Amino acid sequence: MTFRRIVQDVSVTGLGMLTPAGDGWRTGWERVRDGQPTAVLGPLTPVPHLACVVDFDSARLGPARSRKPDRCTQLALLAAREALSDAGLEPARWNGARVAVVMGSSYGGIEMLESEHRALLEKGSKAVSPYAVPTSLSNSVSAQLSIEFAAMGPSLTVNTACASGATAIGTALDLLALGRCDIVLAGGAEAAITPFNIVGLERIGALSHHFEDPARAVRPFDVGRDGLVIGEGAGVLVLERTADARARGAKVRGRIKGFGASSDAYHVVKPGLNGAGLTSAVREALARAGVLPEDVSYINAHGTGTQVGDRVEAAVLAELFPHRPPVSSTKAVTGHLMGAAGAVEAVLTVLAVEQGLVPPTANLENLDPAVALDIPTKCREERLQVALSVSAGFGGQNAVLAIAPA
Amino acid sequence: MSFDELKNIMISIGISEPDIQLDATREDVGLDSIAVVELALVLRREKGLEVTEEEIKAAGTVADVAALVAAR
Repeated sequence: MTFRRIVQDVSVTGLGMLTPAGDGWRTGWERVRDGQPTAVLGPLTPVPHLACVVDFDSARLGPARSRKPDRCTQLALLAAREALSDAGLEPARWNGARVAVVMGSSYGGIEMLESEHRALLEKGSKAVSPYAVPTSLSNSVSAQLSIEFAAMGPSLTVNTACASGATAIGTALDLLALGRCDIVLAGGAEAAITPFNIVGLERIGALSHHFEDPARAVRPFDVGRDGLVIGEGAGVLVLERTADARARGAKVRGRIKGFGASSDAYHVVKPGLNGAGLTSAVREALARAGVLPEDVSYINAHGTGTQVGDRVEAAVLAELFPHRPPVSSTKAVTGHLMGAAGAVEAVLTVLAVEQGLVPPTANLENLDPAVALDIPTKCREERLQVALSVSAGFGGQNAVLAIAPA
Repeated sequence: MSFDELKNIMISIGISEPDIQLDATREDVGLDSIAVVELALVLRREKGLEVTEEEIKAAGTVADVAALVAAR
């Protein structure tokens, strides 16, 4: 299969990140760089579980309103505000018609959906908020960003499960390449540490049971890995065509060089065991970026810490990149942020190439002998040219970003 | 419930403070059909006051709404 090279020179001019690793991209990056995990024992109902929780001051959202957005959108709003400030952009002064919002989320307002549904069952219809539907629909994440920032261009929420954040950034590249807009707020948000989601993932057998030592529970690529830990958070990038970014004198933090997407077309939960889908997405990202596999000097892996997911991903990366570039899974620190994961990991990858640092994989003590990859356990200084951020979602939906320094 | 308490609840559901005048009509103050449902819900959830949506809709002015909640 051949992929067409699409010239799309897109710059990252602003970063925003609100994760269990910290409020703001600086603190979050430092914790990831230092390999300090965040998992704690979650509320013990209705099943025991571990969680990576965001600590933030919701008062920063402004005056309390009962029509306040769901927690997922709250996280998105704060990350977007940080990204805009980082980009030196003021919505009061921009041409909003040329500004798009593309956010990824698996669930959107699931916390609102569950609490209002509980109110309906326990107290009846009069107990349900009139905002129950509009704030729980997943489109609300991007809609509320568009409203908040007067962004009147295309406004999309995309969903490829745990690849959503990366798919949103890839979709933003296309909007910019097609000239549909000049600026995109692109990223992902998720706040799904909820009874339904936790129980559902537990029923699949996806969650780690290392309750004895929560911080060491997520162990990507380790022989002792036993599943993922759910986290919540948001990551937002301000994207502009490089010529536009330079024309307004913006500081370019990094460049998104290519994007690849594919489907395993195999199973609703399991990854395609021969790795063909993921391989195809990686190849497309490289082709669209106009680079060769040997140009890749760092890979931020999906690396959820499940037995089969890590094994398939490691086999694909070992096959495609025999020169063994360093690989890390930052999920050992942040937990699995689901629909936000791809966006947060894109932010982390931009920071890695900007600073010339390969973040470590925390909790890796005994590398699975089946994993033929170079996975640093300490932060490593390295001049990075092209880096990949790899994401994969339930249903076999894959998304891969190729990221380069400014 | 006092007028000030009602005012704070109205502000909390997004109604602009300067608009909340006793002689303002429900339309003037922005108590549209969605806001009426929300006001009834907040009164019940947070203050334990049973005021129905129909009663609030029947109120012509902010003063009428205040009288309604003062009586509960």
